[in-house]
Amino acid sequence: MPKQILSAAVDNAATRIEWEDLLDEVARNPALKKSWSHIWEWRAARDGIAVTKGSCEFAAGVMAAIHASEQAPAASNVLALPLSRSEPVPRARTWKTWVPVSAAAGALAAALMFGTGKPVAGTASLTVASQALPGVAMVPVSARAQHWVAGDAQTGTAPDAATAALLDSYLVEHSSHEVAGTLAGARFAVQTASFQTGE
Amino acid sequence: MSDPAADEQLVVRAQEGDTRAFELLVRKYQHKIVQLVSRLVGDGDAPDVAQETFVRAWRALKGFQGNSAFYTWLYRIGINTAKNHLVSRSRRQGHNDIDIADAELYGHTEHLSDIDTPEAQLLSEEIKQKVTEAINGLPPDLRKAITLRELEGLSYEEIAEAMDCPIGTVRSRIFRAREVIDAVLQPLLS
Repeated sequence: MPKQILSAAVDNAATRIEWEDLLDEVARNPALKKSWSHIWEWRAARDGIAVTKGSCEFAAGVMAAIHASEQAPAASNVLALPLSRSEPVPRARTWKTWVPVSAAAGALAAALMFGTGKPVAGTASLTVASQALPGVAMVPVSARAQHWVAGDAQTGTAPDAATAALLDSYLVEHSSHEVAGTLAGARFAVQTASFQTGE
Repeated sequence: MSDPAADEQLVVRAQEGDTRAFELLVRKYQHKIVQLVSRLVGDGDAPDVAQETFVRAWRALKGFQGNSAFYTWLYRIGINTAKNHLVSRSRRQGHNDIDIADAELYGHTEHLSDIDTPEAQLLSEEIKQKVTEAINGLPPDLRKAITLRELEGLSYEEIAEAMDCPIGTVRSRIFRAREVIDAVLQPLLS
């Protein structure tokens, strides 16, 4: 009976229920698969299509490949692959690592350079001047609010005329190499103080 | 053989994941697909490419809308699989023997049997000869029923009308004729 259904199925003359029965039977009976193949092989030969032996093996190979391809993803989901390293490998430091450090160092340098609001060159000049004339306290020109730029810091008195003249000569001598020598700022401050003293 | 309605039952079941139905489709079309791809990739690689064609068809089957015949859809997959094979083979070998753009043209000619192997031609001729002998040896009612079906292409209803008998009788006669033919084909194909 299954073979008669198969014959009808080949001609598309089987009902839906007969198809279901046929598929169930085909799964149990390999001879039905061969009969199905033989009918189509004869039809292929009749239509001039080359027919080779081993059609059953070919179909079995296709179905095996399909089953294998369907089972492969499922297997990979449960397969635990061994780790090649048990400890994490430290990452190699790259240039990116030093970017924040460089930025912080730059910001610190900028704060040191400009954060005091005092001219660095002028401060150095005043230091040199104060070492050359002991007992004379030097303050920057920016501290004009005190009115006494050069004088006795403790008493707040202005230097006498001789001291001012000596200081002025010293500064002129040491700043004569060029117009804006290293003592130019200090000389300007002393001359300004001398002018103020003259008032 | 590429009647859309003929494959509908199997295709619908295969789309639902029924591998039994798909295996019958494979057995039905394997020779046509092997011959198709053998014209493009040669006889040596044809079985592998044909197998890949069916595997790809299975994966893509749920996207088959039924707007064309199943074989037309399968044919396209076979052509594309063969093209991909040619491209990969030309990359491996560093040259390309065939114009891939023209490869599809080969598939439209059904009877380029000069590409087929002599063994396959011989087997096909032997099948036709044995089946013809078997049909000629059938009782007249069986011979007429199977001839009208296989050689004239009539439907069961048309055969029943031509033979003036019920459709069930036609179905039984065709089945019995095929039993005889199958017995002839067994030693040839097994």
